[in-house]
Amino acid sequence: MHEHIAGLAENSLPKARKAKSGRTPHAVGLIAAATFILLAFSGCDNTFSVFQSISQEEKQIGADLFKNTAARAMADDSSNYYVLLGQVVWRPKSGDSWDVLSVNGSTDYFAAGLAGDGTKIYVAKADINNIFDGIYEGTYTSGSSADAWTWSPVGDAKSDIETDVGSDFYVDWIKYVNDTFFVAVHNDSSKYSLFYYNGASFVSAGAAVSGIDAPLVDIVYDGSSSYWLISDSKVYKGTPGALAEDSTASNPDYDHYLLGIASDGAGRVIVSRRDGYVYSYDSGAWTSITVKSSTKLGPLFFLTLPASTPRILVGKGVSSYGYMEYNESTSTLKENGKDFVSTSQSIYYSTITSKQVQAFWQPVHEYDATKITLFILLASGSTDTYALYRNDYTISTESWSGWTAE
Amino acid sequence: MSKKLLAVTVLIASLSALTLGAQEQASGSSVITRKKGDQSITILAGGFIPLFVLDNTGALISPSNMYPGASFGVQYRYMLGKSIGIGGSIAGSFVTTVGGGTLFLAPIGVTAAWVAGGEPMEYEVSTELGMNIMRIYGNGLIEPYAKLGAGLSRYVSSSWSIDTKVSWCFIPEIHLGTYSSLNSYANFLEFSIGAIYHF
Repeated sequence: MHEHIAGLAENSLPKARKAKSGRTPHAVGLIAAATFILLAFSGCDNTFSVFQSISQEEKQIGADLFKNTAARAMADDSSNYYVLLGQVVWRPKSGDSWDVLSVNGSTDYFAAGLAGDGTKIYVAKADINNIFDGIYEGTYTSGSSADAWTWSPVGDAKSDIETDVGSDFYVDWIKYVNDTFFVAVHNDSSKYSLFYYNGASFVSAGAAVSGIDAPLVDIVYDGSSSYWLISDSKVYKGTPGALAEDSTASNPDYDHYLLGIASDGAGRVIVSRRDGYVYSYDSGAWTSITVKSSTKLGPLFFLTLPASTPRILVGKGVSSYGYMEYNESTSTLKENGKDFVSTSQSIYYSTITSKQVQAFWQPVHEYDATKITLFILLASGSTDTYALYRNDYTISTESWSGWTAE
Repeated sequence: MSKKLLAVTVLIASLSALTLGAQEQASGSSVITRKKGDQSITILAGGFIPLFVLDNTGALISPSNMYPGASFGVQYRYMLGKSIGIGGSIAGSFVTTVGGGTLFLAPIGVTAAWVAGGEPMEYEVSTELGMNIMRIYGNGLIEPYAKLGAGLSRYVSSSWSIDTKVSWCFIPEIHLGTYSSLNSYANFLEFSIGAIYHF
């Protein structure tokens, strides 16, 4: 009975409606297929070749020390490279084997910071629970054994800093800038302070950078008169002991937006922000450059190789990382490893892009006079890649070797 | 590690299906006769081996920098007669690269097959055409593909048979305009085992 009624109801439908209802699934299917194809093709990059890109890849064989870790800082002397991981690792510039550095007679430590002036290295040493021990100055003599370095404490950093911020403090980073040694710390109350070594003790770098709420990011010297410090919210400038908030109009100050700072050593300072802007200070005024709108930037580096086409290297990323190259003279942005420093997109993709850039670094002393080396320090992330890659610039040919794992 | 785990899981699942099918056969016998309207669904898993890649001039790109990977697929077939079947296929494959990357491929296509033999062994020659979604390092392309394969299957019950198949997979990567120099022609060998459900 029910079937009969249903059949009558179906037969009573107008023919047009029946026809329409018959086509509807096809129409929906076609629309879905068209949408799928449109979306799929819109994600395609005609300039990217899957197979030719893969054919340009190179097998990266780095030291296991650089897997599953972050490279946070580098330093060098005339003979060796040093990298800050959880500990400090080193290798001779003439060799390729990395090893843990024995600091003041021990390899059982946590390194909170590493700095260098090209002759000596400085290590902020803590125990494995990050309880600060002190800052040690190391001078390399020769050989590769633990006693190849002579170590001495730099002042009494622990006591000096404790007096100011309390005993519950941790070193965030150390840096040697223009013959001045800086130490950035925070305490258990999340108050951040900057100290510098005045030749006898560690003292506050300025009242404005003592016990502040914002993490301190980095400090540079502009090459003329001032040191420039950024927290993640403000810019500070001045001289050690008298660093103060920068009050120049249109400066990049913005709460939790500042990410990197660099100086060209000739009076110019640039600051990167998380909204895609790089702010440039020159001749007493700030201007902004839109590097990539609404893109979180990162560490900055003035790259002057080759001299005819200087560029700014800018770390980037939230979901995908890596760096971009910005040519100011042409307002050209290169990313995803196209051109310039990265010789191959596929090598860039298989090395750099999966990790956040911690810093770019060039040694004070080049081992090979015909080349200039650029290192990129990366955060931990993908387990298939390393935390440290190098790229050699050959001066005679003005060409880069491409990124190679350390 | 996770990719290897996935490949092992897929293989174990396929072998389990084959074992179940064999157990079902032990409990009874059935007569198999192909006819128009017969349908089947095949689940396949196996290896995916890069053979060679040619560039836009036809020259060999050497090395291809790809390592063998794995594949997984599902196929549907409708028999138009005793020997000819048509259907569709969806699959997923991956190969790893020398730089540590992973190339994912997801071909979706239509298939046609000529089937011969009878109970309990069947043989087939098949071809497949479709579009292939490729993705590596966050970059994707959609390109056509073609497969030519041969297979052998054995009924283990009235509803199930086990299957082994080898296919040559041709993937042309086509770029337009000034980027036509990026054109490449990749060739892979796919071998797989699987289970076929007939209904």
